[in-house]
Parts: sequence; structure tokens; C-alpha cells
Amino acid sequence: MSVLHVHLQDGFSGEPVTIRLNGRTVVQKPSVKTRPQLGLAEIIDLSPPHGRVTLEIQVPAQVLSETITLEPSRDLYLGLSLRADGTLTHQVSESPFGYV
Amino acid sequence: MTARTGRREAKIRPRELTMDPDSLPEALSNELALRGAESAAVPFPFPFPFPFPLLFGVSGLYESSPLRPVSPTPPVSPISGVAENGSEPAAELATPRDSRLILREALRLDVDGRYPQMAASGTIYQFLTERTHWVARLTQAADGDYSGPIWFLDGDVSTFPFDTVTIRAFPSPFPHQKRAKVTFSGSGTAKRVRVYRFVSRDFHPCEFEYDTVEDTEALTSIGTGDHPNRPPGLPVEDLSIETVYRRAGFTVTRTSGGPAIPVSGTGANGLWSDSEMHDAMQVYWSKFANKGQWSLWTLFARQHDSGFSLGGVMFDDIGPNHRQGTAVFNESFIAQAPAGDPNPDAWIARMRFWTAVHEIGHTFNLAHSWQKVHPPSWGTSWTPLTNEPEARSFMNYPYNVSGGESAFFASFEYRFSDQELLFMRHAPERFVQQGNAAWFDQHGFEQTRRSSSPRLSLEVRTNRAKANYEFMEPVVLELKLKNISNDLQIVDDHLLATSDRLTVAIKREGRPARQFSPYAQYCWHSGTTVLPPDEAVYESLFVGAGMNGWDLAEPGRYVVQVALHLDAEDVISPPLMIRIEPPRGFDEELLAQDLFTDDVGRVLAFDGSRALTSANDTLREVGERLPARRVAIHAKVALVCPLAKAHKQLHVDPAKPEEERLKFKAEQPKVEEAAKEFRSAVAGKQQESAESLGHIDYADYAIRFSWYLAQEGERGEASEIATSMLTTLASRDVPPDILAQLQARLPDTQEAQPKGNGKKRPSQPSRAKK
Repeated sequence: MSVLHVHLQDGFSGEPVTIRLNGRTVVQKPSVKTRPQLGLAEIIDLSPPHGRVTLEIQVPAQVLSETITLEPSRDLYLGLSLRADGTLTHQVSESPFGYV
Repeated sequence: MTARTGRREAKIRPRELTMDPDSLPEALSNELALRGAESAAVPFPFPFPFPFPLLFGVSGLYESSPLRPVSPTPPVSPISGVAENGSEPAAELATPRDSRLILREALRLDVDGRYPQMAASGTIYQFLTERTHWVARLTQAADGDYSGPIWFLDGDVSTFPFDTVTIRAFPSPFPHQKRAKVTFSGSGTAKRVRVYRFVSRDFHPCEFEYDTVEDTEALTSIGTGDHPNRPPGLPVEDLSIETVYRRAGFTVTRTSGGPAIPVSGTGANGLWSDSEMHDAMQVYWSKFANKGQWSLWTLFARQHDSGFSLGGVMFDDIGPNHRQGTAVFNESFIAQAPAGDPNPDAWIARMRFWTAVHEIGHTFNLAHSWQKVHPPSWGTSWTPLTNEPEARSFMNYPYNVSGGESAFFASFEYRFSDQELLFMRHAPERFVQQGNAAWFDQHGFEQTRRSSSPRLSLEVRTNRAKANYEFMEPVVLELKLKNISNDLQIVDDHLLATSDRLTVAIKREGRPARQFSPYAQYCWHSGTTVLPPDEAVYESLFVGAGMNGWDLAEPGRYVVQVALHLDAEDVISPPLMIRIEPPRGFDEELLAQDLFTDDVGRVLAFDGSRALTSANDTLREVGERLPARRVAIHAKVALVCPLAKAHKQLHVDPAKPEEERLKFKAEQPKVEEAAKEFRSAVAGKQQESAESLGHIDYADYAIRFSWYLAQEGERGEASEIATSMLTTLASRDVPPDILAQLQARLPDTQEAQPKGNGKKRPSQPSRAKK
């Protein structure tokens, strides 16, 4: 079974974050805060089912919601960042993200 | 001002030369090293063709101190090549008296050398801990001067009305002769001119210390030519972490790390958490201290608890002092070269090196290149910054730029961005210095020359349980200079009595600090004292009145702090809080108007006067109308001291012919009357007298009067005064060895001794373990 590594990266200042996988809430974090010296807040590992999955990331405090569709056939790394303009960006990689 | 003789030894810091320094005159080799050799890491062409265009850089750190006036600028041409007519006219250098309590001023000029920012910054260090910091943008005019607007101000700006600087630099092949003249100007305000002397090519010092866990190794330098993916013109050299930061403007020194750190510090899993690393830092870092200091620690370890994804971290965002410790994790993603890389070993070494420099950059409060603009809740930037997502800087992630890490290293020159260099070199020290401003606070864009390993400590104190003084009571404090090292220290005999070595700051609550300025500067015949460890010398400090008037006249709370200026460092006392009580009645308020005058202040400071009769009348009235108040003790002592000495007074009689107009009138001492008045002044108030006059002066007066009486044959009375003094001080817990020293200064009342001159002598060094 593949693992989806969700990295909450830049821009988080203590907001609650909810992650829903195929419509089901799988993660609820009351406060997510980026550590500026790393550009990383939290790493959450999910075990998605086979095939296409829909991931919804909600940041209620900013009335923000982003839906991403993935088909993880192997381990995948999903990086999510809050931009200064209030939008959520994401990047997908088959290699681990690195932080220093 | 005591004359200073001797030539200050130039402090020339040899840079990394690529030529044999012994083959050139020392000064020339140093200067070429300062400017020529560092601009390119290629071997210097030696022997070089002569005549060689000698260009002497002017960038660096300069300093100005009112205690060490800078000699007029030397008669050399400024860099414009326009000849000057000798030295600067004295009038240009003379500036209006600055009322601020300025200890020293620093100037950082950044116009040539490695990565010049065309900027200047300065810090005016004032007492007590107040400072003004300015930063200016510079352009060079046709005449060679640099000028530009001041765009950043920090600290006490109320007395800094300037918005422009003009800087004339005076280069020299001899660093200690370099000067910079700065003219501060602003609309509607008089110009302010300062001349600074060159101190260093670098802007700040910094100590680096590395430690390594036993299961891995440290990498602190690489060959920049080892990996083929690099900018075409990149100099091929062995580049160390320290060199990177030297080029950023720091004087980097390595403090020695210890033996390998046991991996047992990680606990059971063999991986490091932030708190475990913080613990290790406190144990293994030789410079650890909970304070801001230009010093940092880097740990080379195998892996963090977070795992493979974490290549390094500035873990020190916990505790009271941030940004002192960093770590590099060798067995993380930075050790995984991409498939097909032409030189995987070099790739790994480069990534480890880059990570170490990057993490150390965070200790200087540098944010990531893409993070300069961020939510306010993260912290503040020292000035509005712009994100630099494509910057080829140590503070950017190579794999985050367009084209990835391959594109990054193809144009990376092992440097920081201009925005980052401007911050590290010119931002207020506390924003940059490790352990100072919290991490990410004032990122990205404090006074005195304290030693990091002080040998001496200074204390200013009172001889009373509570530092409360009655209204009108002249304030007398005590200085204690103690040897806190493990070695003998040699100190000047009169160090604490030498006014130009001391800065005394007095600050009333809610008001700016003022510098106490005594009525007289004393010049002493030089002598030295050897001070063993844990022993101290003491001196009395009269701060009741001085050239600035009565700084402690008004009721209220005050802070007094003293700085002792040694040749290489300043020793600062902790602040002393004192309180002046309000007047107890109308009489005191009325008499205060006559007491708080310059004449009365001088009479008290100089232990009396025969000439200032009006002041004497005031003191006499104070003694008569307020006999129970402590000011009466001071008044009576000041009135009786002149009686005990022979003196001459010059009288001028304008009515007489010119040759008879000046006449000296001699008066013989009235010892018996003086001693009687002295006993009356302190009789029944020995404790109060000792407390109010201060132990040192109280003892000094008693010794003096004891001698006066003994010399007149009044040995019984002499003995009585001496005994009262010793008994009183013994009851006030003055140590026995001090009492023994005082005893040794008293006359032998069994036999008359030779006459003394009756003048107040400085207190002899009193050594006590206190």
C-alpha cells in the first residue's frame, strides 16, 4: 500500500487545518504553525486507497478550501503552503521534500 | 585630561593571502591582503609589476570616542585625488558640544571590497544602554566623497535630527592611519561632524565552534572546483565556512570544540531531537551563555528525529536566547546525490557544506530567500523586504528555484544576496547578533566594549542598608573594583580616582541620562598595584555636585552606573538605584535654594574654602538650622577642614599702587578649634557620619584630624578621634584587614610624627575579600 506524505509547509500561523480524503475527515489539526527556519509546519502520513483519490484541504479561519485529485500508485509527497495572498499552493513529488 | 603617551599598536588582521607575506613590507602586504588578494581567489601575480596601481580600500569599521580624540585627518589626498592643504582646519573638526552622554560611536563604511553595498551605518553608544543607529545609502560624487540619505533609524532618535550623511574617507597604506570624516546634516539643523579612526576591515566579530557526534564527521570546507556543475568563472579554491562569512564582513575566529559528543545524548533511538541538541549545546559549547554574543555553535550529527527529510536545522528557537545553535544531519536527503550525477561525492560534500552555511545564516537571523515577506504573526522584518525566490544565495533552497538544484548551482557563487549582506553588516547589532533578538524578530534587515571574559568587576554601592538619601544630603558612593579572574591583575594605583578613566551616568526616572562631570581632573604620578584573585580596591565617589550642577538634587528615583575605561575594554558596574527623599518642611525647601549652587558644590567637593564666603555662610546656616539632618554633617566638615591647614590667600587691593596691589595673606592653622568643630560635627552621630560621608571619606577625615592633633601634641584627643572611627567602622562590618590598614595610617600617639601637608590624599588601595 502506498503512503501519501502530506507536508504542511509555509505560511501557516496557527490556523486550524482539516484534511478530508474522499469526503471523509481524516485529519483535524487545531493549530498549524510553520517553523520559519525550515519552512515546514507538520508532516502527516496518509494511507489512501488504491486508485484515484480526492483530497480536500480546509483552512476555515481563512475561508479557504482546496481540492486535489491524485492517483498514488507509489509513495507520493504532497507539499501545501499558504501564500501571502491567501491562496493555497501545492506541489507533488515522488521524492521526499528536503528541509534545512 | 591626563596626557596619554605611547603609540597605540595597530591591530592589523592578516587575511587569507595567496602570496608569501614575508616577501613584502608588512604594511603593504597587509593592505594588499585587505583589498587585492580577497577580491579573487586566484593566485596573486608575484612578483608583481612595478609601479603597481596601489588602491587602498576604505571600507570597514571605524570608531570615535570622546575619551580618545581622533587626531586631525592626516595630510594625504582623499581618494578623489584632489590635494588637500595639509590637515583639516581645526574649526571643521570642532563640533558643538553634544549634550548626550556619548561613550563612543561606530561607523561601518561599505563602499569597496567584497560585495560592497554602497552603504554606511553608524551606532552612537550612549549611557545608560541607550543608543542611536542609522543606515544610509551612498553614492560617490565626482570629488570622491560619498553621500546619501539616511533611510533607517533605530533607538534614541530624539537627539538625531539628521537625514543625510556625507563621508570623506582618508585611505592610507597603514590601517591605523585611516580616517573617515562624517558630516551629518538635515534641513534646519546645524551640521554635526565626526572623525573616526579605522579599526578593522570587517564589520563585526564572530566566533564559530563546531562539535561532532561520535558516529559521524564534520565537513567545514570544500573544493569549489570539485563538482563540474558550477558557474564558468567561479574561482577554484578550498573554501571554508569561515571564509564565506569573512567575505560577508565578519572577523571569524574558531573556538575549539571538544572531543566527539557521545551518541548517548540522543536517548534510545540514536536520533536527535531539538531539546536534546539544545541540552548538548549547553554542555559542550565552550561559549554557551544566556546572553547575546557574537558566537555560535554547530553540531554535526547523523540524523534528526524527523528523519531523512531534515538536512539541518537552526534548532535554537527555544529558551531565553535564540539563534545560538545549529545542526547538520549527514544522513539525510543532503547525502543522496541524484541518479546520474557526474560526481556524487562532490555533490554530497557541496550539499553538506551549503547546509552548514545555510543553518549558520539562520543564527544571524536570516530568513529563507522566499520568506522575506510573511504573515505579521511570524515576526517582523527590520525594514520592508522583498522575496527573492530565485536568489542564488545560501539562504535559498537549491531545489526550489526554476530548473531545480542543477540550475541553482550552475550560477551559485557561494555568497549571500545583497539584501542579506546589507542586513548582516548594517542592521542594528541586536537584530543580527546570536542570542539577542528572538528568531525572526527584526530579521533579515546594544555599547560599551565589554570583554567576553572579564578579569575585573566594578561595583558602585552605598554604605547603607537602603540606598535612600535625605533631601539635600550630598550623595557619596563607593566604588569597588575586584579581581574576578584566577590570575594576578596589575591595576593602576589611582585607577578609580582618575576621572578620565571613569564615566559616571546619572539618570532620573523619566528623564534622559546625564554624565556626571566632576569639578576637577586629577593627574597622578603613575604607579601600579598587584591585585590577587578575589581581592578588590576601593575608592570614594562624590556625585553630589559637579560641573553640571547638582544632578541628584530633586526628590525622586535615580539610577547611577559607572564605566571604567581600560585600554582594551570597559568594565561596567551594575546599575545602582537610589532614592532622594522629599523635603520634610518649608525650612529645607528654602535653604535648598541657597545650598544647590555651584559655589556650595565646590566647597563640598574640595573639602572647604576660605574664599567662597557666601557658600560658607550657607553651609553655616544649614548646620545651625538643620542640625539633625545629614547635610549638616557635610556642611560642618567642609567648614572645619580649611581651619586645620595653613593657607595663603591672594588679596587684590585696586586702591593700592600697582606694585602693592597683590598681597598674599597667610593664616596659620587653628588645629584645636578645627578638631573641636570636627568632633562636634560627628559626636553622637558616628554611625550617621560614616554612612553619609561614606566609609572611605569618614575614615580619611578622622585620620587627617588625628594627625593634625598629634602634630600639635594633642595625642590624647588624636587617639580619641582615631578610636571612635575604628570602633564605628568595626561595628559597620568593615573587615578586620581594612581596619588594620586604617590603623597603620593613624599617627602613633605615643610619639610625634613628621608633619604632613594636610591635603586630602586619595584613599590607599584597600584590599579585602568581600
